[in-house]
Amino acid sequence: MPRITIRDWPPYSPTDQNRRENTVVAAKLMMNAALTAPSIGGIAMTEGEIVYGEEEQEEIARKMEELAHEREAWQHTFLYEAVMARQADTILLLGNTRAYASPWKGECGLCAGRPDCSFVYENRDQRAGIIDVTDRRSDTLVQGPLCTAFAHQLGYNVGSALMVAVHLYIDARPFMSIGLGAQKLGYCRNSAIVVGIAINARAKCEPSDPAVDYHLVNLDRAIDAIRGNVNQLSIRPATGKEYRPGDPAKKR
Amino acid sequence: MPLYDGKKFAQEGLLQVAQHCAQAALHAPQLIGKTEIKMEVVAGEELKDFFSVEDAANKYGARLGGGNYKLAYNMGEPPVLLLIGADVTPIVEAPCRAACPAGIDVPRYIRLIGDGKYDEAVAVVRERVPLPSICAYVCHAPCEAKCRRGTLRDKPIAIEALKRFAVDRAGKIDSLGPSAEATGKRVAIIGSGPAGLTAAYYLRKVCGHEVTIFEALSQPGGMMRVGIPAYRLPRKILDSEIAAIKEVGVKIKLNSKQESPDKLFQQGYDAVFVSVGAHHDTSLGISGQDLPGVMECLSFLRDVSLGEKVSVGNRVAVIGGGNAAMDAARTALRLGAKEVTILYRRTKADMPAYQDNVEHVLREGIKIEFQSIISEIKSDTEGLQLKCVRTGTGPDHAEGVSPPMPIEESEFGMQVDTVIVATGQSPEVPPEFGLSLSKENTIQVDPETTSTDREGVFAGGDAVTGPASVIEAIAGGRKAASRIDQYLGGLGIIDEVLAPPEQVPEVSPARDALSEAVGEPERPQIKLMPVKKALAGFDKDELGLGEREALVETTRCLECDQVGYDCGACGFKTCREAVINCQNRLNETGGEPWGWLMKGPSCIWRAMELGISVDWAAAAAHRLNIESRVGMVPATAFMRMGYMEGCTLVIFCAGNRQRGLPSRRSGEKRRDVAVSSALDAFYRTGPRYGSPGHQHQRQMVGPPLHSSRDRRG
Repeated sequence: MPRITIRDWPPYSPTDQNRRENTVVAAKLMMNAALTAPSIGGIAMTEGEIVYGEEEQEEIARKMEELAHEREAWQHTFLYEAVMARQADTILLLGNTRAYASPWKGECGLCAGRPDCSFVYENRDQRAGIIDVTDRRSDTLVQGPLCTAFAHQLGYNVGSALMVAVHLYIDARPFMSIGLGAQKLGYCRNSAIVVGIAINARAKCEPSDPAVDYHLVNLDRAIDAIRGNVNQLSIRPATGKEYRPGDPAKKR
Repeated sequence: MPLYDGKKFAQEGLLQVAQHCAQAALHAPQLIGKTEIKMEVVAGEELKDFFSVEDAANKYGARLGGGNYKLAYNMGEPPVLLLIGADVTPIVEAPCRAACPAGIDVPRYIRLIGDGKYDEAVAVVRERVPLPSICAYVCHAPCEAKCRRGTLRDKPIAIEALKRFAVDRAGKIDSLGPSAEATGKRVAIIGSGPAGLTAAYYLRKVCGHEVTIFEALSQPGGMMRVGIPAYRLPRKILDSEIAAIKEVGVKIKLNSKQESPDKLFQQGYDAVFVSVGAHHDTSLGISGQDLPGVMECLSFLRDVSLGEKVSVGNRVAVIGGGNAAMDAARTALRLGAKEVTILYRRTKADMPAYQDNVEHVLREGIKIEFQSIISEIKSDTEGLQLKCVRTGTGPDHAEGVSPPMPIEESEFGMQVDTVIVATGQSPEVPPEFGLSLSKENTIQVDPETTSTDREGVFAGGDAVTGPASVIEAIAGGRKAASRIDQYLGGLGIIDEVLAPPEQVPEVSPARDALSEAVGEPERPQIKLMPVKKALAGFDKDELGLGEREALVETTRCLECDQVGYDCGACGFKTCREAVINCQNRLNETGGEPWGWLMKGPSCIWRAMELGISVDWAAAAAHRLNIESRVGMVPATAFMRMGYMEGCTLVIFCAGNRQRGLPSRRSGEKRRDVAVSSALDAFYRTGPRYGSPGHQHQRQMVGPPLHSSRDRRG
């Protein structure tokens, strides 16, 4: 039997839905632009996925929050960017399929090894130069080392997609965290590295102008808190002290 | 005859296109916000470099596949190239390092202190400053003002105290290493202050020139000796640093006042560096300034420092609000004055003296009369009678600083025995030097080359900037040393690698200390000697940090020199490992690229961020219907030829003319390359085995690839 989910506060109202569906169109155009971006050697190596929908975005956001608590270094960023993944109208994921398994061989010297891609090969299980991509174990967020030139190439793809967003007057911002969270969930599964672009068509572009401690102080949470307060007004003693601490930032 | 050559007109228009592209690159969205884009436009005569790309490729041993290279060369003759690049290594320029005039790698030495490696930490400081101990004792720490922890919600790291801790704990260095081979060139340096000593050190040790410092006084050190009292800079420290400079082969001639550079040139010197400091006191300009009991600040401090007998009365007034005034007041107390008052014409916030210096003054019981000016000094039976008046803030001034205005009927008097005038200092450059001077009497130099208007004469330090800090004088000395070396035919490279390769420690003393600490670590309070004891002599009154305190303090560093995500994409588990690897490689190669032309390891995200900017630049040209092409390979050759200094990855966008549209003209070639690359990806089983370039490469770099984990052995 399928799950039956009931919520009394649906953020996905019909009007929200309409707006979000429009951004999917924008995301598709952005993906086209990403595919036609300049590419190193003219080799195809871009992979993209459009994530749209409450459940899907929630999953990515929760994965990001889970990752956030794994390490202090990225905790703050991942937490508030998770909210942006949750609140985005659509997420466009772009990845590079070659950075892991077939480095450029351009003798560029951009990675940490000799200018012959040996750093990538020597850190991989491989036979005769064919890297075993089935070994997906990693104790870091990204399974490195990756080919830096191809990661740079992904920048071109992301840049082109963002340029289309500019032309369409759609708010878009690239996030490493959304890409990494989505990658862990299996999106862009052929890619070594993924960038997530949160696409929004709202009057206030929150990803561009987030508040401090955005994972706590954001519009959805604020609205929800007000609703909670309104409900409690009638039952809370008038002289009672506010039991919650105030602004977490001040507390620190 | 047309009004204007249309083709030329169009070509000039391409420069505006490049400008538009550059704007777009700067406005591109950021991914992690830690990549500083740098751009250069190549056009006109400089474009001939484009055709030397092939030469550069051959010269520097490029072993690119033929297809890739031809793709670059077949682009024709682009009229305008926009080079876009960035430093994409995992090393981010920390704000503290950027704020240091000498560019000391602050996060690195803090890390080393945390690892318990004090000698190495001092070596990191010495890589940029040949007077590390002096720097640790008297630097006013502009780095702390920019410390990111301080700009967030916390207090800044006690960088200066940590540096002093390292200097105090480090063992004595037996040798600073061998000096460079003698070039046969001779340099004379006039003045043995921080700028002169710094320039001398680099010119002798790193550049190999014969250096002689001519000092007018009987002891070396310049303002560090005669301007900074011993309770701020112990003479033992100063002497040991000067001894180290002498050890590398610098000669110092004392009591050798020079009247003109001409005589030095006649003696066979090839260049002269003038670093005479700012040792001339500005006069007060009021009646009574020449009365007995009225002293000039620098003369007073100099006499005390050189051991002359100086006596002050019980009541001393010091006029001025700078560091010299604070030093004079504190020195007067130590000479036996009972009551010292500083008169300053503006408010406390306006004082040019360093904050901690002012705090010391107040702690020692010295009174400061703010917003007070002195108008007359008279002598009477009880000493000196000062006529003073209160000042208020004047009307808005064009330069933003309102001049203090005397307030009517606010006159007051003071009875003192001694007046020390510390209202400013300026350089004293004899007219025989024949140098152009500003109205403040400072030497006018070309800020880029530090050269004066006389051939072969350079200048730096306070003589150029006016009274400034020791670290600024050291920075001036560094710059001058580089430029003088270039003038004498050298490359002007003065950077040294003195610290050994950094390693990730298995045991971290800092972490151990932190685990034993109670609560969140906070910025430590610097312990001070009791006032009574401090005033009894000229010993350093700041006692420095204890070991545990210092180790815990290092853990507060946010390590802003790293990207800091520890994502592992570059192949290292932490950003710190990547930074250490990168720093060690930079040290090994002297900053030269390895590989084809670029430098790694790179931060994957920074490289990607640069990609976004490049793409936006290319797209901007596209919007203007201008054909453009993005290229990495030839751009790196430009980088090798000296363009885009400081970048580790450079890309260009080329605007082209109608006949030579790069993508169309090279379209066929491009497809070939694409196909060959695709075939390469499909059929080749690794790097280009069998190609002549690869054989060469294998000979160069050692064992064949893939051998270590190839199960076939």
